[in-house]
Formats: sequence, C-alpha cells, structure tokens
Amino acid sequence: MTSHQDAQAQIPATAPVDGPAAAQTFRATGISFSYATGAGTFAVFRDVSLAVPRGKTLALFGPNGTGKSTLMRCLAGARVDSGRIEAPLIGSSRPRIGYIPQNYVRSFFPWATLETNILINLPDPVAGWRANKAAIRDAHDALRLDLDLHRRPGQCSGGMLQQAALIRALARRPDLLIADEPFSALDFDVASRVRDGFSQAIRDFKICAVATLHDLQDIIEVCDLVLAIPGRPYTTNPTLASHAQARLFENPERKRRSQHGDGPGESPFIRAVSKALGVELP
Amino acid sequence: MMRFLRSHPYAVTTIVLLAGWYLITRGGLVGKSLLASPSEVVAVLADGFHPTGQAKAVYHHAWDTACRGLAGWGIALGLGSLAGLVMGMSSIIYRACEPLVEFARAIPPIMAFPLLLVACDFGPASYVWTIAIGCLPIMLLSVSRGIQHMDHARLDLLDMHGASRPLRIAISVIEILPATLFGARLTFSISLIVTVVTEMVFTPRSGFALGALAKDAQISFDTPTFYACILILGSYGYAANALIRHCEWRLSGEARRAS
Repeated sequence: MTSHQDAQAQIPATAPVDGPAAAQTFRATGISFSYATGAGTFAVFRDVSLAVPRGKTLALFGPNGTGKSTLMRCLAGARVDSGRIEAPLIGSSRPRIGYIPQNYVRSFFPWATLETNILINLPDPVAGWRANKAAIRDAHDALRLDLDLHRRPGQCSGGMLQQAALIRALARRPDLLIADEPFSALDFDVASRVRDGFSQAIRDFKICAVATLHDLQDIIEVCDLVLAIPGRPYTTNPTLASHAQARLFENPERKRRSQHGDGPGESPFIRAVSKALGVELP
Repeated sequence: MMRFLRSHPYAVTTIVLLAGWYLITRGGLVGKSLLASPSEVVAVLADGFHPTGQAKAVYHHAWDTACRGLAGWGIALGLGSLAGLVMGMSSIIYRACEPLVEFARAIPPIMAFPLLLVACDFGPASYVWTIAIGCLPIMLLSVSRGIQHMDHARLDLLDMHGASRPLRIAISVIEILPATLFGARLTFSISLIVTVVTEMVFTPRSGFALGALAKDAQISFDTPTFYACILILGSYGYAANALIRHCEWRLSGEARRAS
C-alpha cells in the first residue's frame, strides 16, 4: 500500500455534487452535537459534513464509543446543536426515513407478529394495508430472506429479528435509510445473501443509505463510501486541528472484491482506512 | 397421575386443604360454631339452587354483591386509567398529584361512606362510589408508573418513521395495557374487600348483600352459611384473577413463546 494509493482512495468529505444530482443527494453540512452532564458539556462531533448520493451507501467506521450511533440519530432527525441536513424527497413534504436501531430487539412490539410490527411502521398502515403487504413481500424478496413473518418476536432469535428490522426499514421505501450495525447478528450464510440483497436494493430503490459497520467484509461488499472516525470529538473540517479528523474514502474495491475474494487485509482500500484509524492489519 | 399433578400443582393444595378441613371437622378438633364441615357448606350452596331454598338464597346475595363490586371496580378502572395516563405522561403533574394520591390511599374507603350517603342518599350509588374510591388510588398509581417505566424504544421508532398521532395513541394504549391489567388485578381483590366490609357495616336497603349475610350468619352461629359466603368471595377473586392473568399472558406473547 503506497501513499499514492491512500491519496486515491480518500476523497473530500463533502465532494461537490452539482446539477440535478445535487437534488438527489442526502447532505449534512457543518453539523455539531454535544451533551451536558453535571461535570460539563462534552462534544461528540463538531462541524461534520457529508454527502450520500441516491443509490449509494456510506459506512461509519471506527472504534466503539466515538459517537457513530449519535451521528446516525442526528442524521435521522434528532436535535443537532448547529448545521443543516438536506434530504432528497420522493414526493412527500418530509423525507421518508427507514431506521434500523442498534438495539433492534427492543424495537418490536411483543404482542404483535413480525408482519404486524412491520405494518405498524409503514405509511398509512390502515388505508394502505394491501399495498404495504406487497411492499413487505418485495423487501423480503429483495433481501433474499426466508423469514416466517407470522411469528411473534418472543419466538424469534436475535438474527431473525434483525432480518425483520431490515425488512421493516426497506419496506418503507425510504429516501434515507439509517442502519446501525444491520448485519451484526446474522449467521454467515444469511449475512452473505443479505449483504448482496441489501446493496442491490439500495441501488434499485435509489435510497441514500448510512450504516454503522464493524466488519470489514460488510464494508467491502456493501458500502460505496466510508467515513473513518478515529476518535472523539471528531470533525471532517481539516482546520479544526484539536479534533480527531474523520476522513471519507471511496470504495473502489467492492466489485473487484466480489470477483476475486481477497482477504480484507489485502485490500488497498481497507489498508488506507485502517491507517487512518491507526489500526495495524495482519 | 404424576404428570397431571406436576402440570396442575394447585390441585394438590386444593385436595390437601379439603381433606384437612374434612378430617378436622370429622374428628371434632374444632367446634361446630367455629368451623362448619365441607358437606354442610356444600348443602348451603346446593340449597341456593333449590326453588324453595329461599331462606339461604346465598346466590341472590352473591349476585347483588358482585354487581356492586363490579360497578365500583369498573368506575375505578376507567377513571384510574384516564387519570393515570395524564399523571404518567407529565412528570410535573405526577409530582404534583402523587402526595395527594398516597394520602388518599391510606384512608379506609369506608370512612367516605357517610359523606357519600349525604351526596347519594342510602342507595346503590353510595356503595358503588365507596368501592370506586377505595380502588382509584391503586389503579391510578399502577397506570402512571406503568407509563413511566414503559420501554420507549418502540414508540421512538414510530415517531422517527412519522407515525400519525391517532396511531401513536392507539399503540401507546396497547403498550400500557400490562400496567393497566396489573392494576386491575390488584384492585379487584380490593374492590371485593371494600364491598363486603361496607355491606357488613351498612346493610343495603334491599337487604341482599353477601357482607350482610355473612355478618348475620356469624352473629347467629350459622357457620355453614358464613363459610359458603367465604367460598363464593374466594371464587370471585380467583376467577377474576385467572381471567386478567390470561389477558396479560396473551398480551405479552407468552402463550406463543411457551408453545
């Protein structure tokens, strides 16, 4: 891995997107978030900018406790201290969000079947019942799953619930999909099928997707962009020297990786991302 | 047989209790004025079904008591759920009202009966409201604490997905049902106690009341009728508890989980 390759992989956090493509891009500009405790105010991130075009997936990658989930919640509409978030719209006045929480087990109503749980979270759950059932079937098939949606959450394993959470988010046909560790509980076989189905669905449904991922395999196969977050508080503004510099990388390896099947450590892209985080790969 | 006992352990305790009761009365270990035999109690209960068994028509008394108890309990359930919802959703209202509710909880509801007599006259309403007042604080605290300890992750996700207000309210109501059912279970036994105590102290104008019948039976050493009253009250409590427990079980998904 050379520094030249590093420079090729890394791109500015807010790479300019002009013309009609700009309207098709999810964009966060200069957003900051801090929280107050009795001991003072703690910044999680400051002046973070990122852009995700429709049909692309951005991964947030970094150590635990850096505030990736906090950034996800802010992108999904939670309060930020400053900055601006612009989302592309399908037609409604508000961007439609699909959210896969980190603690997906708690996100299911125990008294309803998985299908009802998903239906409740879809637009017009009563009037659009028939269309929503079809949307659930489409999302299920797009993810290449074989899940019995007539079970109750209490009858399902963690992996099955995670599959249902993925269907729930995709069935909404969202403008923006926020996924917090969406493949963490899936077994090897299901994960490889779901990864393929997931990235295909993001492209087909033209969704802007942001995902927190800890597995290099997931990143290589699913993500088009990676924001490497080395510490906290972090920023994407290079002039804020006192903050950890989060850097955005493009993943040119995805197609090649799926064709050749190299180990993660051999990928120049992964080596560049790992170097940004200060992690030594075998 | 062993499999049946293992799956129905309460059958063992019931059989042991009945056998012990029979042996104690049969052996004359306790005087007849203190403890009636099971056969005598069964005779009283069977007499209630007989057209000429008017003197001991315990079921007429039992029916009137059940109606009073259920009416008071129903009012407490409705009002307590609504007020608990308001208290649970606002921490300011909760902190403002909690001391008053705790204060009211310590007052025996029968003390309110004379006041209610003035307001409602010596009619069924005064009994029903006494029962409701006795159950209300418990119901209110159960529901409001249930809301406060509710898992908000699911509702937060609904908000994030832009759920409509009516849908959110409907789901919230289902979500607080476990707390409501728990409160209902607690207050049902309280409603029975308040009903019977009130009837024992203030016999209703109609004269039909299980509490009044039990008191009269006790005074006249009619122990079989007295124990028949106890059995009926216990059955009410058991039946209501089993019904509400079943609802809780279905709601929590335990039924399917166990299968």
